[in-house]
Parts: sequence; structure tokens; C-alpha cells
Amino acid sequence: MTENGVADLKNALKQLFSSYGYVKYRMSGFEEYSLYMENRNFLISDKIITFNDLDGRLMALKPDVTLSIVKNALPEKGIAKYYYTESVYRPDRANTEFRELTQTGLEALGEIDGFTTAETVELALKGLSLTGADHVLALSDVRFSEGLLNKFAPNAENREYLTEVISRKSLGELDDARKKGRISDEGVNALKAVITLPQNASEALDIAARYAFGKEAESAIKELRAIVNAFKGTCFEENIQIDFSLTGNTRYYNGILFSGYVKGVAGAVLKGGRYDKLLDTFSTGKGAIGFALYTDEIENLFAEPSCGPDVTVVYGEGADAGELMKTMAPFREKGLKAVAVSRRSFTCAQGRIFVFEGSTLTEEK
Amino acid sequence: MINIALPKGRLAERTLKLMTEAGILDNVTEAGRKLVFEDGKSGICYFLVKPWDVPVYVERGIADVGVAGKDVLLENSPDVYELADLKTGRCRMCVCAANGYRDDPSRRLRVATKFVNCSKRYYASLGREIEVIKLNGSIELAPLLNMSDVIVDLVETGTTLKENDMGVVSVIYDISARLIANKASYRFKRGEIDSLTFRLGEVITDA
Repeated sequence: MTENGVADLKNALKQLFSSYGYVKYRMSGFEEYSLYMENRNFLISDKIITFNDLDGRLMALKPDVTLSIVKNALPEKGIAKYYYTESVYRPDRANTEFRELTQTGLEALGEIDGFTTAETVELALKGLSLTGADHVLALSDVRFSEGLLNKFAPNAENREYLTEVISRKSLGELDDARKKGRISDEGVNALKAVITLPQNASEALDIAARYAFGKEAESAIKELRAIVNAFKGTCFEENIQIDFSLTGNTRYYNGILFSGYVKGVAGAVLKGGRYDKLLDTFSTGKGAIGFALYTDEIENLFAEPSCGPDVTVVYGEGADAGELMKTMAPFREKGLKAVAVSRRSFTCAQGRIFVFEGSTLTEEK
Repeated sequence: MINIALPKGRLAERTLKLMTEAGILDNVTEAGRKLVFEDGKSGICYFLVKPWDVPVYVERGIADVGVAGKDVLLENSPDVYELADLKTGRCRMCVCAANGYRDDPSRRLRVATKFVNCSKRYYASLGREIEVIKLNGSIELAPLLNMSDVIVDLVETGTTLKENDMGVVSVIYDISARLIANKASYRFKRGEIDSLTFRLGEVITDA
């Protein structure tokens, strides 16, 4: 695909989401800053571009889409399904400047059941497949991770430490943690097993089930198994992996988490999950699930390798313009990128070099 | 095929030795001379880069895996997996000061270091206000010339400290080399990365 690849992908995603009954949600570019401040732990970064509106209110350029949809479009009852393509403004990876990023995603709000969860996973998988690249959707569940931490790291300091160990798959830290008395032998064995789960989702769940501590963790395994089973025998069976190194803020997320990867892109291009607890700050008893695909991250997949001209023709002063144009034409007819450059402005050679003097074209060796 | 980013310098020698012992790499001498080379036997491509740049190459997926010091990982918090402790390149990140130094908790502490984030984190955990003075080398000089009260730096044998009439005040982290992996590569090249980790694991010793 060419530069249009990302635009084509966005259109394909819109069609996909529409075909599942999701409705396009268009939002304002700004929100009141207080919305983000009150829920800053939900955001990837608490650094936000702010400005005073004409009426004096402190506004922000959206750093996130989900919060706006939840705030403005939560249904009274039943379920509401929205998709969007929006710009968000966040610090870059080095945290040195802001970047405008484009997200295409969806949110289902209201009464979320097992089917809606499985359908969201299906849409995430189909969305990733639209990139045309090999892809993987990694699934996790905060309830499982919470069970592990409750069992092996009841105090806050160890909890934070072991969360970091799990999210980084830091097997090397575990032996050290055991020596320092931060975790028991049983805990080390459990975490080692969970960190190194096999790629096959069913096998991974069989192992993880042995370390599901508490009813919530057991429910998490049951729900993940139902999802994995729903895709058995489909073209997506091999694209699902179970990975509990995916963690989410438990103040907001309360169930499944997912993270999507496509071959050729260094980081996750899709992130999402079940976030009923965020809704509790707006309305009680409702559920929500959604994901965002970071289309900007995928851009490089579609980019053609940048290349200069195949042929450079250097012409001297006084070259006949008509003759030069006739000379250039055959190169382009052959599908070559050909550029004519005057000798005065010629700086560096790109591709094959020809010199046009009088009416003669000579290749420079 | 997988790409591995290795740190140039002393850690590279130790890592290459470890990889040779694990049967992953054929010829250390040849490897040591080139910045990029492909091992014919394994089909693995290696880059030799600055130690501080290894996590950058891995996080951005140019290298699938790499070997980086825990100090670099703690300082920069790259978004990578940390698959194994190679138990080589061991040292400690410490707060050090001139012998006889007495802390005055009533004033802001001047800390000279190249580990700005680690220092801030450590002193924030103690609730201590500090002024960080970022230096890139010869950190020990800062307290000797009264530019800082203490330094935060890596201590391997302590010889440099002794020679400069300094000592360790407290240990912040134990440091060693870690095998790190790009998160996407880990999903698409799991077999190769697991095999590499396993083979290294067989030759890693506590020594």
C-alpha cells in the first residue's frame, strides 16, 4: 500500500464498525480541563495542552477520547455503541513535546454481557487484520492479576514491585525478590509460570487456571476461556494470546484488557479493555468496553521506502528547454523517476547520472 | 532471524563471552571488531551500540533483543520486557560522599549524578528535597570541589572512591546486565527469543 494506506485503513475500519451497528460519534476538539484532572489516572499522561476559552473557562485539547464519550453519551438504559476517528494531543515518547495522534476506536456503553465482550474482541482482531500484516491480540484480565497480587503481595510496597515484575516479565528479579523476603517460594513459582505462559491461548489458560486465586480471578479465567473458545476453528484462533503482563489501572479497569500488535511495528497499536469502574464516576451500575487503534503508529507499515530519482540529468547553461524535455521523456516512459538539474544547482548524485550538453546525452560513469 | 543489540565496551566482552559459552555465537574475536555482523551459524544479526542506546534500539524494534545494564533501564524506563538477569557487569548504584561528610537535613541536598531520574525517585521516596546536578563523567569530582554534597553513581569495586577519599553512604539498587526484548518481537519471534533466553540461562552463574 502507499501513503493512502492509512486513509484506506481508517475507511475500512469505519465500514467494519458500522456493519456491527456502531454509530459514528463526532466530538468537540476541546473539553473542560476538569474532566481530565478528575480522571487523570485514566490517562496515559497527565500532561495536557490547556487554554482559557473566551468565557474564561480552562479548556483542554483532548488527550483522550473515551472520557468524552463516557461523559456525553452514556445511555439511560440498554446499550449504546459508538465508533470514532479523532485526534488526540499527548506528549511524545520522549516526553519532550506534544504530538497530534489519530485514534480510530469504538466504545460500547451500558449493559455489557459476554457476547458484547466477545464481539469487541472480534472487532479488534478484524481491525488488526485490516492492516494486512501478521497480527496478535494479547488478552489479559485485571481480576486475575489482582488475585495473584492479593495472594503473594498483600502490602502496598511489594504489590507495586511485583506488578512491575509481571508487566516487565522480569524473571531475573524474582530470585532476588525471594532472597530479600519479598515473595515466597510458592509466589515465585506462580509468577514464573504466569510470566512465561505458552503462546497457545488454550494451553496458557490451562496453566493460568492453576494460579487463579479467588472467585474474581476464577471468573476472569472462565470469561477468557469463553472468548478463546468462541474463536476456535476460525481464522483468528492463532492470533489470540494470553498475556498477564498487560496491566491496567484497577481504579478504572475491572475485567478483560487487550493489546494488539502488528508485525513491523515496534509497540502496541491497539489498546483497550473493560472499564466499568470509570463509569462509576459518572453513573452507577453500568458497564463499558472499548479499544482504540493508533493508526499513526501503523503509518510506517504503509510507507514506501523514501527514494530519490533513478536518473539525474545535469544540463549546462543555455541548454534548449524543448530538447531537454524530449530527452527526459523516454526515462519517464520507462517508469523511471527522472530529474533535470542545472550544473550550477547540482549538489549530489542520485541514481544514474547523465550530462546533457548541446543536444547530446552522455552517461557519467 | 533475530537482531540483537549489544553494548560496546566491557559489558560487550562479557556478554559475547556468555553468548559463546551458550553456543549462540561462533567467533568472539570477529564479533568484537565490527559494529554490525551476522553470525553465519545461527543467522543472528548483532549490532554493537553505546550501552545507553541499547534499550532505544530494542524499544523501537530495530533490535528484537538486547543486553542492557539495569542502571540504564532504571534511568530511562524503556517499554521493553526484561527477560533475564545475566548476572554479569555487577555493581551497585550508590549515594557516595567525601569521607567525614555529615548530612544537614535542614537544607536542600545537592546531588551530582548522571542518573537524574533514579536520584529524584530515590530522594522522593525519602521525602528529601534535592537539587540535581547532571554530569556526564568524573562524578566524584563534584563533592571534592564542593559543587555537590553527594553523588549518585555506580560503584563496582570502590577503588575510585577510595582513591578520592570518598565512601558509600547508601546503596540504592543492585545492578547487573539484563536481557531485554521488544514487546512486539516477543510475540512474533517467541520461539527464537525463548531459545536464546533458555541457552543463556544454562550458562548464567551466580559468580
